[in-house]
Amino acid sequence: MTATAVAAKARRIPNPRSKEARLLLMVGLLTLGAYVLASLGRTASVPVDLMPFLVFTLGTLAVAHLVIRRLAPRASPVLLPVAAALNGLGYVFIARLDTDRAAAQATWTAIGIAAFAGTLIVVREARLLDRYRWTLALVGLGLLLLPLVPGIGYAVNGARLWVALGPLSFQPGELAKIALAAFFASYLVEKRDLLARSTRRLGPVSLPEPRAAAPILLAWGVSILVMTAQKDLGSSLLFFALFVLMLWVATERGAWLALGATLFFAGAYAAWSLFEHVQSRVRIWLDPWPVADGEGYQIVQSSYALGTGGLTGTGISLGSPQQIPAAETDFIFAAIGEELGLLGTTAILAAFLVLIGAGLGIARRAQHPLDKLLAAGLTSIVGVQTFIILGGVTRLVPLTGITLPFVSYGGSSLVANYILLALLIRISNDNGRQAAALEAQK
Amino acid sequence: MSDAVLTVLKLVFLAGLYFFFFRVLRSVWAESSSPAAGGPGAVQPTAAARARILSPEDSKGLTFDLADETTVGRGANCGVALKDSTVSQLHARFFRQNGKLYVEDLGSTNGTFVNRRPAKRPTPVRRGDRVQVGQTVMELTR
Repeated sequence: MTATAVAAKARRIPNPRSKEARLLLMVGLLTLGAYVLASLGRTASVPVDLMPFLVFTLGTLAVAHLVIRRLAPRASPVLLPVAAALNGLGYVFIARLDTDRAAAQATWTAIGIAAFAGTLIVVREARLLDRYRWTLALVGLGLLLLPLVPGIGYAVNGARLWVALGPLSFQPGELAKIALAAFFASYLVEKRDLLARSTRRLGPVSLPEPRAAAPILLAWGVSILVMTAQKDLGSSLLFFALFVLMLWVATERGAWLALGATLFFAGAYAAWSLFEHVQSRVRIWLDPWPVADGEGYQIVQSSYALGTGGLTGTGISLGSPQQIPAAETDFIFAAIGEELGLLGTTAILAAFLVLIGAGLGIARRAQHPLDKLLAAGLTSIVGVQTFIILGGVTRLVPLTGITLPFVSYGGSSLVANYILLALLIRISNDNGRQAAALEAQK
Repeated sequence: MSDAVLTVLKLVFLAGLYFFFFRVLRSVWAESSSPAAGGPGAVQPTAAARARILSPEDSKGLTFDLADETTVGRGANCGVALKDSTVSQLHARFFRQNGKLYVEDLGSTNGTFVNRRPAKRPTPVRRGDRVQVGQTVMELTR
């Protein structure tokens, strides 16, 4: 291909925003379709609030789209539609399971879109977060440990990760992970040369300098603290995995992954021998059937749901996923599996694969190391979190309760994930701008 | 409403869902293969034209323009002249062939590495790659 042909091809690339608008319209129609199907299945009639639902869905999508159009016009067009499709499908299932929670989820979706817009307005360039490095670290750690403060922190189902301020209750840990990812990115960009250096070798493995290992030990300590004090296995695992993955990406050294895995298994073994609830999780993972009416009830119901669903599912509102405890939060994947079958759950997996692939693509194309590392970190959050909960629900790994991003019921989680999405879109826009500037130079 | 109708509607919905993902994947594909996005299909006629020293500390930040043929070594007449005692007099060379930039070790004592892998024969390098000669590490930039 000659240079002029390349240039001509570059000019013919359609505006990513019009592509995004078309995809969003499809998301709106699909969400509406699922909502109508749910109502048809339940009452054999079209839902009475069809018009308000349609206006709300298309309205929130339009607001998000216009914000991107104005503030990040060169960003990738697939991120928002895929996240919105997950959010929409999740909402239909929450509405089908619990009407009260559906109303709350709709409010949280609106707040999430507002947070999305706010993030794009405030963060004009992702690398400006570098200036607030220690603030972000303090805020992140503070949020992570906030539920331990007596008086405002409280526990639900044994895990102490909630904070109540007046009528408002939320999980600060959801926001903490984003602040910490930004902090790690900015810290590791500066220290990566030191962390990548190796002074001694052990056979074929070159060991990092012992002094440089302090941060990884600190991160490990904090995640152990979160696990023991808050009894929150999911967040603890997510937090540690995020740090190790970012360290690996920053230094390009496999030794950190090995060290991280060793520390993880040491911590996991210690937790297993010390805590009864960890042993119980492992027990019901290996064989839930003897205790199907007791501690294994949830996971057994989830397996029944996935089995009942078969290839195409019973149809929305025609199954009985309400049998599964926490069906609208941690186990929403099983509810979708029962009523939309293997095809429905595969679509959910495909959505996360596209989201993670797009996120890693943004990281790969980013020019600035901070952008690169932040995009990789944010993508890791989505990827690890999805793996933890889907692996748990399908009994691939022991169950650790955590929300399925964008799909599960949960205000803090939804808002945090929209902020995360906004940051990825911001970095993607910077990439597009740089590519266009290079194109113009030629 | 009969079960048959509901089943058909459910299948229509699933088909719609998959059509959506088909469209999404098509845009992902278009994005990652478009030249403007710098994806795998991107043509970069001047893939890497400059080397920036990352370490050791005293020469960090120095940049060297790479011509079609540039030598690297401790010798003063090298295109990239380094003051590192672990670098041989004539250590390696960068050269361009069919628009691609290569690095080749010229029988140095301590070797040449591309992204930490020894470069025993001419190795293609791109922007962002790290080339190490002796204890000096440089990153290729535009």
